[in-house]
Amino acid sequence: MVGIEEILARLQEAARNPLLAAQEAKAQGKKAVGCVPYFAPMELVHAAGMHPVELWGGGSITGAAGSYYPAFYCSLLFTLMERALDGTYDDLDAVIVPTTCDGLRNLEENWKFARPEANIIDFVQPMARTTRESHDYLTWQVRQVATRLEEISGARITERALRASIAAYNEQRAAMRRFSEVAAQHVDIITPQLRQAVYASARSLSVEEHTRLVSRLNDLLESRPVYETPHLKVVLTGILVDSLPLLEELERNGIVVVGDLTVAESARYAADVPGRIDPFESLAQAWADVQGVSVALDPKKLRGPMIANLVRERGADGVIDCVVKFCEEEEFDVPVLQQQMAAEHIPLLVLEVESQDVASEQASTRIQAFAEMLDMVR
Amino acid sequence: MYALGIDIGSTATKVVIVDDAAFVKASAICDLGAGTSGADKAVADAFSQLGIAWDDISYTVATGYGRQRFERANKQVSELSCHAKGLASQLPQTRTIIDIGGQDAKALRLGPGGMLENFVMNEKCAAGTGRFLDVMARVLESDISQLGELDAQARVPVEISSTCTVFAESEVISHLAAGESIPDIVAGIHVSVAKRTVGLVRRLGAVEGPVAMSGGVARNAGMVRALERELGMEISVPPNCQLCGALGAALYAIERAHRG
Amino acid sequence: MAKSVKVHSKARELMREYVGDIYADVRAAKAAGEPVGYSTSNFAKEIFEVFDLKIVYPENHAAAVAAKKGAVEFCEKAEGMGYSADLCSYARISIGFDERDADFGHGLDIPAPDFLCVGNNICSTVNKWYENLAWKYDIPLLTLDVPYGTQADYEPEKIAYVKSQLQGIVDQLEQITGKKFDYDKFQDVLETSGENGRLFQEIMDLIGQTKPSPASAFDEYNFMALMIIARGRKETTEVLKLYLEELRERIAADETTFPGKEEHRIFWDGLCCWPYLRQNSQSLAEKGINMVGTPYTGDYGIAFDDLYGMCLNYAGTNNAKGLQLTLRSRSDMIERYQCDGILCNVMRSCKPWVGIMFETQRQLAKRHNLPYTTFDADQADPRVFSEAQFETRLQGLQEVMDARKE
Repeated sequence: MVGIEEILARLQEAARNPLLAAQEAKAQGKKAVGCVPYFAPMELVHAAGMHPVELWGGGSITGAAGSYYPAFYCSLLFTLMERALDGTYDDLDAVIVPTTCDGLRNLEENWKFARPEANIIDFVQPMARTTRESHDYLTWQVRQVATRLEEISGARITERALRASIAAYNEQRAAMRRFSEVAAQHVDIITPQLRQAVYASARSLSVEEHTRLVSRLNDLLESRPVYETPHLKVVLTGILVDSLPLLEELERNGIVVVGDLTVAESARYAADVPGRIDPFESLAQAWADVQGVSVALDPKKLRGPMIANLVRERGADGVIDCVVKFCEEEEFDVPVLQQQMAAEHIPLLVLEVESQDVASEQASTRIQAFAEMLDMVR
Repeated sequence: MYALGIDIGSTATKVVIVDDAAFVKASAICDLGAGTSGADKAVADAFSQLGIAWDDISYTVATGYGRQRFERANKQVSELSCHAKGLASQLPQTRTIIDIGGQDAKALRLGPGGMLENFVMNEKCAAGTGRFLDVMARVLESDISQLGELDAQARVPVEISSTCTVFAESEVISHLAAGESIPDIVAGIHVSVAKRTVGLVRRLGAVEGPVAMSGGVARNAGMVRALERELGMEISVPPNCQLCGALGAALYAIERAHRG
Repeated sequence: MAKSVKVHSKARELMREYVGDIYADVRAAKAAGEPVGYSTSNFAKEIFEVFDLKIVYPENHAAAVAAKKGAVEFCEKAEGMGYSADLCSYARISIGFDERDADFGHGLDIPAPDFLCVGNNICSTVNKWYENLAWKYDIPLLTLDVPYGTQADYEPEKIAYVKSQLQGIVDQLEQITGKKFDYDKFQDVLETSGENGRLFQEIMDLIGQTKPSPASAFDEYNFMALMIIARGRKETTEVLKLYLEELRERIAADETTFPGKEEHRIFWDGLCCWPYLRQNSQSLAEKGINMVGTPYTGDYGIAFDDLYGMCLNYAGTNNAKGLQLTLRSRSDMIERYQCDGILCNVMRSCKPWVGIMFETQRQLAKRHNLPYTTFDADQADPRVFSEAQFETRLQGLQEVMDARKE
């Protein structure tokens, strides 16, 4: 029987090598398809019998993407373009690029031109998410993507296969929701860096393997007594918090993570893909059900209240908003979040983050000062 | 018993030594920052004032940009908390602190008793930091320490519209070429930094007074005047403004020493 | 060589009369208890016209505030509220203006909105900007959702989706205004709007295709406001026709309103730089460089005579198009307008445009064998522009174009 350490080791390995599982799948003769954020329909790739792998850029910046973008461009998309250019993604049989924001629209176009041999599948989600018309339109888009995937895999995506894939991903969603709660009760084991690894590994491992490992991890953690931490507890929010130096900095300052509303982490597991007569419609409905993230239209600004609820539920001391450098969606949310958190008397730290592993002296000072502040409040 | 606070900034190192009763006994400033021999020199200077050595120091707190690489420290505290504490010990009523450092600009809100309630720091670029002033002083062939005096001689500050350091530099050069006086250009530079800084301060919400300024740039009277005008409020500057961070660190250190 | 003349344009005078004081109209409507809306510049404005609604176009308004030297003050205000200085300057000016402590004057003070209309065909930034407004005022947010054009041609399904949303917009506005929508009037407005698009294109073509040009594309900016705020009105038709006549007279008399000697003709990619409009146009004229075409005004030159065409028009705006569609329209302009070079405004705060600008320029330069240069600026924030840089870059472009001519 594998123990906590072995499970975490495999998850960390997959988290640190995003393309590892895709390479393993390819070695076994499977095709692999990259899925760029946000909310690409991985279920379709799975149902087509291919291995989906999420692409979040990262890695070093050589400056190659500078011939496509100015210096003041979203750092997540900048690194994605860098990896597209340096051949990191060359082994993938296709890449799905959603277009929820201007930056992604640009990425999808630049990638097509920079790498004409790559199969770039655009997935143009509607901005309006809750109307009959947007639902019908998105169902058509989902079918367009399905058709492209069928061409690549050479196999039809049957309704039966798609229903099974949706069920597999929903099982993972349930396991991850449970993990979020269990991890908060065992921060002695699940440090900020390990917590991130559990989420990040979902981007690369097969859904079956990841669900199996996380479910087992949940069981093992739950069999232990709940750990009452003396440390400062925070909730994270943002697009992604992948920077290991930043997570290390949290650990160094005695801060533990007890929950998140982050696109790359909990937000994507919040709701199951609902059942529908037409499973392709299920995938369209899933986009309408996304809540509380900066990249999906939210005129009620529910992100703030959702974070506040999470803070109360998990007994957190404060919130750290990790804003991806030059991400407009995130930057627009900052002033509103500041007002919402102030009204709830929840301390908020806004940090600018990059998708690379760069340590920032400013971030380290801010985290330390925030920890000192929370300590005094306590 | 003594406790030591050291503030290792990006361009200078400051040391303050306090005694049991938290009275300042020695202080030193060395114009060398993180990664240099500045820390050793400043400490040696302060020690020589009292004729003491490391053995006489019961607790050391390091702060500033280079705090994590100072091995003698028993503890590191961020410069935000240290500036708040150091300044509040001198001007206890202060509610808002402005600190313009070499690498960054900060605005701090204090609660009663000097408790840090909230803070904001500048974004990624050099605009509105001490570095911006350094670059401009170099273009004007002036020493950074003269900027305050030059500003006092200004008649009509020129307008510097660019926020980008490189663009602002070229603006300053064209003002020079156009024959504008150096004092007027200096005053224009101060207004430009003041605008950026006040924007930062406002991120804390409605600005609460009294307002004070700490850090080396606070010695520049022209900068302080420009900030007061932009803010529409008076700004107090403690006598040893450059030492605020080190003083705060020393005060944290003596508290720790008492706690054992 | 055409003779440079300064003329009093009747068309401009008439336009000013018709545009009148739109902000005074908005204030009056608000005072009379009518609902006032804020809308992005390329929403389905024909519907507003039918309801006779008074609408503020915040981008247009922000540009006007910038022209009255208000940009820095309001940008700083917004930045003080926590809005990053990297965000769209139109948004920052508008958001800061909304929180102004005292009247701004210049006739630009506007009331708070009662409803919002956002079209993502100009960028996705506006989604966030309007989202925050909807939250602040707790008012309805109407959307015109235009899916990004990723293919070589417009996809009928995407256009059909745009079309399918119009009824919903009408229904919501009936509720907001308490008025019944007049479908016959709509037909008239739609046709007028389509015709005005055709006329505007004719103006651009006359300026662009005539060599030497009877004017400069900078003159088109004057009439662009009319296409934003009054596209569906007969008065607009009258103004555009009058201006066309004036242009024809200029051509017949071998005259031009371009205040220089037309040595080179260039294509300007990007929005204009409102705070330095005069400086930019003078600098070009001094060097004998005439800007004869720009996709910024090109947005408003699409003709149509039915609903589908109207929707196609709204899917054809600059940032709604991917590279293939963008290259198609840019290439067409560069070729027909016989451009010798391209000048690109790398707008600090308009990322969707700048994000495909570099590849667009590479492709265009390759296709048309044209030199191009970029300069750093913005559409409205004056703090990120350097006159010295602009001059140097433009002079460089001029020298390359000179060398190629020889």
